[in-house]
Amino acid sequence: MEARKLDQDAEIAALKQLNRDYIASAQNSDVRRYLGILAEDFMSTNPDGSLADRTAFLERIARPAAYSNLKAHDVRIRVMGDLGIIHARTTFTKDNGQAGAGWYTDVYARRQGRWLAVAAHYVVR
Amino acid sequence: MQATTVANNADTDALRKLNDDYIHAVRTSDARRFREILAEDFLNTNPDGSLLDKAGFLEQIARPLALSNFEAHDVRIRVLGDAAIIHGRTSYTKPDGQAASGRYTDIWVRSDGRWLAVAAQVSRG
Repeated sequence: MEARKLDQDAEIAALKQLNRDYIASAQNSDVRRYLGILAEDFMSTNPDGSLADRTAFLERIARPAAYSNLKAHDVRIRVMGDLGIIHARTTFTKDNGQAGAGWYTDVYARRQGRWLAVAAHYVVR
Repeated sequence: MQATTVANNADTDALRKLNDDYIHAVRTSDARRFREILAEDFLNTNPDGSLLDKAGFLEQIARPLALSNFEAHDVRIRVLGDAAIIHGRTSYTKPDGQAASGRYTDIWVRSDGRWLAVAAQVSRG
């Protein structure tokens, strides 16, 4: 029981770090880091309502971000066997200086011992 | 190989039916059906960014829907072992008569042989 709790804590810590990397990579247009985070079958629902596969998502990421100070808040991580679900809010500064906010749900799957993002749904206001 | 394919088809069929029930239960404010298909730890991200637990979501559902002609389209079902992700588009008519659309991502987990929704994010646009 204790071992299981420790395992769970380790999985949550791993997902917390991936979430930090995910946010930093969005801010820094870091396609290379995303290549290591996203599963081949990753699908993202974008703020404009489009559903992007991994290639389309990476193309979008490669463009310079039109915002700064992107941060995640109220990060809630749940592990259910080989599935991880992250709910969070974001804040950022738009290029025109206005404050922006958003929220997202990211889904991770553990494959061969490694967590990979399989889906994302994010919204900005 | 054959058995896996058959099992996956059965899962996809079951999830398609659950997705139909989910949409129908939104349309008809059917909190009773939702009580059966949502896991106890279900979390829903609303279009306004609020994050609701199962009790909060059921309260929201029980109120009469302000929209009409609510339908799902382009439903994409992905089975990943004991987890599944559904991406869909919605169309509906707003109270002022205007046509509108949205997007959702639903996450399901198989527990004791039964699929239960553990998370959802709904967005407009």
